[in-house]
Amino acid sequence: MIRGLLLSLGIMLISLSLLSITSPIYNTVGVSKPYCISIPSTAKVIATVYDNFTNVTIYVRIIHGNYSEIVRPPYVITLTNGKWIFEIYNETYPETFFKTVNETIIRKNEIIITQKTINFTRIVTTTNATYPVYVKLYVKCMRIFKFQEIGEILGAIMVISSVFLYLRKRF
Amino acid sequence: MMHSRNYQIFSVIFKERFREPTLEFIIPLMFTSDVFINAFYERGNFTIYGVILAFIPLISVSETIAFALALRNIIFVTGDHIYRGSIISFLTLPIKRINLFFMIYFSDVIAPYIMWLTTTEAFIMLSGIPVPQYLILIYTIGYFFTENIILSIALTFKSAGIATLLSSFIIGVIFIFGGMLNYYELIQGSHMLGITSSLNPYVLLLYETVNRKSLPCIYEGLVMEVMIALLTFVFSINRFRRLEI
Amino acid sequence: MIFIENLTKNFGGKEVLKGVSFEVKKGSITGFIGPNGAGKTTTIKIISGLIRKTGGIVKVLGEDPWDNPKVHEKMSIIFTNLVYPQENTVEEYLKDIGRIYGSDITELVDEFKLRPHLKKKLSQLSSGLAQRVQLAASLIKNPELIIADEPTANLDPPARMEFYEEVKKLNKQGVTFFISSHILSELEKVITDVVFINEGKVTFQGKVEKALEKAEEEEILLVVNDPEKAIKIIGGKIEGSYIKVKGRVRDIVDKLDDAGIEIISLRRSSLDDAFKKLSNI
Repeated sequence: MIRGLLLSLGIMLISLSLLSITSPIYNTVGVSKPYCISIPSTAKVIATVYDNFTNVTIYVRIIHGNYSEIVRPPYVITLTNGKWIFEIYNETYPETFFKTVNETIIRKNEIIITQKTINFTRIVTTTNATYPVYVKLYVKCMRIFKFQEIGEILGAIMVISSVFLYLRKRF
Repeated sequence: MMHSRNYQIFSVIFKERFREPTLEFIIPLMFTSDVFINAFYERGNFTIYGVILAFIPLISVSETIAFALALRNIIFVTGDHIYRGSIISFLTLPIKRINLFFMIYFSDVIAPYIMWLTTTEAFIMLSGIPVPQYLILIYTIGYFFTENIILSIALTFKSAGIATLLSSFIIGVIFIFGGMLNYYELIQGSHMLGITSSLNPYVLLLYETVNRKSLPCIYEGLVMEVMIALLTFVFSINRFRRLEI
Repeated sequence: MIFIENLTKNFGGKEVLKGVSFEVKKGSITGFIGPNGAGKTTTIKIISGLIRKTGGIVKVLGEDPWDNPKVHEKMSIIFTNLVYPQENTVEEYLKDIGRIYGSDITELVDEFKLRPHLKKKLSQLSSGLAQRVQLAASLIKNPELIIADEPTANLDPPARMEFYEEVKKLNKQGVTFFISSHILSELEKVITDVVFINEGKVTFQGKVEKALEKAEEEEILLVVNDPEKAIKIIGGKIEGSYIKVKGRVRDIVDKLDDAGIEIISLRRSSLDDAFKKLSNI
């Protein structure tokens, strides 16, 4: 029983150490408040930041430990092990204002002052985001074991032990 | 090396439940099926939500195997001995009935649990996934709660068929309708959650994760489960001690 | 060895044993006889510690057998069928018991000629072989007392004879036996004492000779060379190839001798007759 158990456990440990989940996973998250994600060391994740293609320009801040970067979507980044925070830095959009002005018209004998409404566009920059930004996470693959070497070594020891016990019993 | 008599008797009982190649099949299967923890974790954007889903019984393969193995031991090994009368060969051994009961209980119920626990903890350690230990605790309490109910049913009804049907029905109703009831209570804002959470705490765990709110009624439910598990355990001991064949 | 006084047992309000009292002495082979439903198996199960008594005193080897490992250490029980998980092989079964009691089974395997059958599963054994295995297993712990509940019920005549030969041999080595059986004609050749039970009460206990005396006027079974002539002289009736007649043996033999009739075989009252008498059949 021990021999069989050691052999099956050994083969299983070696297999799981070498394997990973390779079917791609896509998740899209809408970010208006700061979005935090913890990436394990066993996963390979690529994040794509994009906006919704309106006339709004968004800048996104990406924080990872001491690293901090302000990027403009679309932006692609590979996420390494650890905590990542995506937050909207600022939002820039054109806003139309209306203003009433006095227009003076000077003719031969008279001066006429008329009121006229004109519109003009102003660029507004704000940190209170109105429009969300999208973070598309693409999990490329995920290893089963974090400590692959331990799994491989343990598995090998178990397989060798079972072979040794079998041979000892046989001879 | 001469082992004690009690050890030899235990060895006979244990060997009968776990003949070759049961352990060689079950333990690696439990371990391997834990890859679903990785899969759910990945799917859940590396949040605790995915981990909780992976630890729900019936979704988790290793938890289901442990539960099914214990059920088969209780009804189709120990129960079968009682129904057919071959338990006589154990009752006439030079051992007190209470000791015999504990040996049978260990082999039937505790051994599959230990297999599940060691494989799960080993997998958590090797995979590096941050699984909160309260999930282990919740499954532990639920496991002994259900298996003790099954044991008391098997010792009460002298038929494998009746014991299986009744156990499946009761446990199924508790878990599935209990979950639905908890969901309803959460939506309605009812105050019965302290009682109903004992039926299926996983719905409440998911609610906690999604809404980032803590629900103290989960602990009340767990305490109720522990009490019921202890009561059914004491009932089973008495039943076995007074068993007449 | 076994002391029972005023033993009662109720099953769901129905009284099965109504004050059973008897004793089994050390070194004896005691037969436990009674019709179906008399309470034999119930009594044996109480003695074996498998059923609790409702009232009375039961002492086996000086102690109450219920949940008592000390009694089970020195007592073995043999049933009609081998009660052990049937998927085990003979070798596994005997080795398991050997390990529990710290005994080597090699001698017993050879003595009971079980070596060619060691790899067979218990479910594959014939009745006779299963009983042989049971008997071998019961001896592993060197018991002082062996209780057997209808041990030969499934056995053919040669197997039964073999079983009883073994019983006699073990009894000579000091093992006490308490055997219940229906096949009285063979049992009476082995037992020294007998206990009759009927409808939950003991109707007789004591030596076999006393039981046979209790059958009162002796019934004699004869096989002669001229049955019709013999009937005219001694009376009685023909049953099969036997003439059954009541009377004293000496008188009957003298009458047949005088008439020139040859007596081929003669059998005196048996336990069957005592059984019928004491069971009111």
